[in-house]
Amino acid sequence: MTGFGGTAQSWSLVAFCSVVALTLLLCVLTGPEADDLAEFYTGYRSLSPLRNGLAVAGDYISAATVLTIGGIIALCGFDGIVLALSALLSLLLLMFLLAEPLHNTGRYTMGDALARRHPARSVRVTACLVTLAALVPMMVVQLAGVGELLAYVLGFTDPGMKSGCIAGAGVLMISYAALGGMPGTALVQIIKTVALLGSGLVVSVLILRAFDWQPQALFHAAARRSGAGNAYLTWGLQYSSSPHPALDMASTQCAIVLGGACLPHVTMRMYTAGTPRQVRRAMSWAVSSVTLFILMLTLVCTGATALVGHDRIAAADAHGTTAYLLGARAAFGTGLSRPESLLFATVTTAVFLTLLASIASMTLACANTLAHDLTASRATPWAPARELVLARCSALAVGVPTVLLAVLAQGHSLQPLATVSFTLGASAIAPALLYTLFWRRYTRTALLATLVVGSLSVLALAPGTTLVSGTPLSAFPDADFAWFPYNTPALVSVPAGFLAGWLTTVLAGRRATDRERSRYASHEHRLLTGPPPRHSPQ
Amino acid sequence: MSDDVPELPSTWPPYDRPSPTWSTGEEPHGARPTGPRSGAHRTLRLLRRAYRWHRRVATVTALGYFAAFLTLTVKAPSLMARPGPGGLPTGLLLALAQIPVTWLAVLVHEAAAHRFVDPLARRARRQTHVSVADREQTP
Repeated sequence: MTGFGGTAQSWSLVAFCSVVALTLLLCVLTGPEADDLAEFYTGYRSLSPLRNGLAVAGDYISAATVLTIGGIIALCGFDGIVLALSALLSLLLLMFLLAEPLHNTGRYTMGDALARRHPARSVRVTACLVTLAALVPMMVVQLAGVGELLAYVLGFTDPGMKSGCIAGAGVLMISYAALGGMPGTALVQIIKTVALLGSGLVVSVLILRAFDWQPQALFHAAARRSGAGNAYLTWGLQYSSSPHPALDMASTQCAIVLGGACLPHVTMRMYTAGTPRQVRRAMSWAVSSVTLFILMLTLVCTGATALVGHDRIAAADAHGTTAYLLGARAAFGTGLSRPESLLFATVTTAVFLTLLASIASMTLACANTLAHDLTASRATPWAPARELVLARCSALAVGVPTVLLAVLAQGHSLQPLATVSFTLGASAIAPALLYTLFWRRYTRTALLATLVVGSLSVLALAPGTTLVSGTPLSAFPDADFAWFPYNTPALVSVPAGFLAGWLTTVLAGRRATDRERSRYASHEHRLLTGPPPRHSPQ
Repeated sequence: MSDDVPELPSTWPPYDRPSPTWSTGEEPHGARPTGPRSGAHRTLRLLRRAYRWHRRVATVTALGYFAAFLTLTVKAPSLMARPGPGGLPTGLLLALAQIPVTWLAVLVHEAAAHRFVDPLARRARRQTHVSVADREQTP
């Protein structure tokens, strides 16, 4: 049923179980002490740049990237490649623009970075709510993906089994986040990045070998078997059913470029490095690894179309989410020898680990913001041990509803949920961070306006987009209540978020903006040079 | 994305002129340990300028390339579909070229930061450290 042989399945099962056991053990071993808050949140800022970079890359390469973008590359060719490139550009912009200032001003969460300039409970609570709104949909996507992946690789179709897999993965993600904290999830991310890059490299080499080391032969073969001919190698296949293809593409790219790297589970890794220079180093490693991964994703998924053909990929899943695995399987040829089975099991395990690790990091980001942002503005801060217990309970509190939502969401297209996450990042988080870090006159009301208007416009518009209803590939293909004829709400919500902040500041009057200006000046030294060295472990 | 970015530079020019708040000594925490014309202040100003150019050039280059690429893709599809070397469409080659260009960009960015920003940041930290020990007022 899956097209994978029995040996591949049993090897995969063995590999999954051992990976779960091993990572859980490592998580417990590296986990923080019972009352060590700084270690739980940031791992003492002691990760080396290489390891930190691999962890950032691990956070950034979520299952949405591997499975969703991989599927679009396999089915739509050029459009998918451009989508993958915009994801890469997003991380590059994070490195160029935000990484060092964020590291210098933030401590544990995004709320810290925003509240350094505007210390107020309202700022922290809003930051916490936006973090949850941006990450929970993404977590649902990944968790539902675990059910699908396990069902596909291990060859069962029973929905009850899938729900069981989702619940199991949910228990794992809560354990990783609650037991391991930042050091534990960083380790899982590092293992995942190495496994994903290593196995992807082997598969890419095999695919290139199958085409006599000629990439152009690979692309031509893919175009031939894609059913679209040369249109596969040019723009427009993905947006062919859209009434405004150019605007649709622009808004999708805008959402990914601005939102992808601003999501809190990625930015929280900026706080784990020791000095601004180490952040830059870590980001160099992260961008380099993600670039390598994007290259491999392109080769493997185009290879899937070239070797397997469009029809079989679309038959396995209408959105092509299994294209990466199909491409890897096809690269090994028809019969699998024992070493080949083992290698293929590494590929499936790397994807499985990708799903688990991404969810764990997102759970951690949500738990951190719930525990830290909601208590940090109290008049009498909580004792570290108490806050740590709260953070661990928050992981549970976020995890359980997410698992339930994921069980409900399975069987539907998950693209709208991933889109909501990215668009929220682009419409609320990106403008708030950019303005807070670089605009002297930005007032607290304007910050709240950016966050609230950006998020609400996304949440209001998202149900009306064509990804939710109205087309055969929507989440609800039988219904049609789409009134916003685009894939993403970004076209309206991103300008709305930026404009809300700008207008509120401009209308605040000269006195208010002068006050902000002098407050910015008093923080500027820290923004530029970073926290004093003796401040770091607390 | 192109309509978001131009907003930022328009807010930046205040960086350029010597800010009045620097020298009026109005700051609530007395955060500037030394006088307005002292070395520490000058270093900070230089550092701010270095960071700003560093960020601006890098961001505009990266975003500009991508925006130009997307514009060409949409506005000049015939140009982008024209076969380039290897028989692949020019657009696809331009897209794939972004992968090595990214690696190069990372290297150049790191080298430039090492050359122009890091020495100033080091100096600024040292000067603050020497002149005053109790700057840190945040929890």
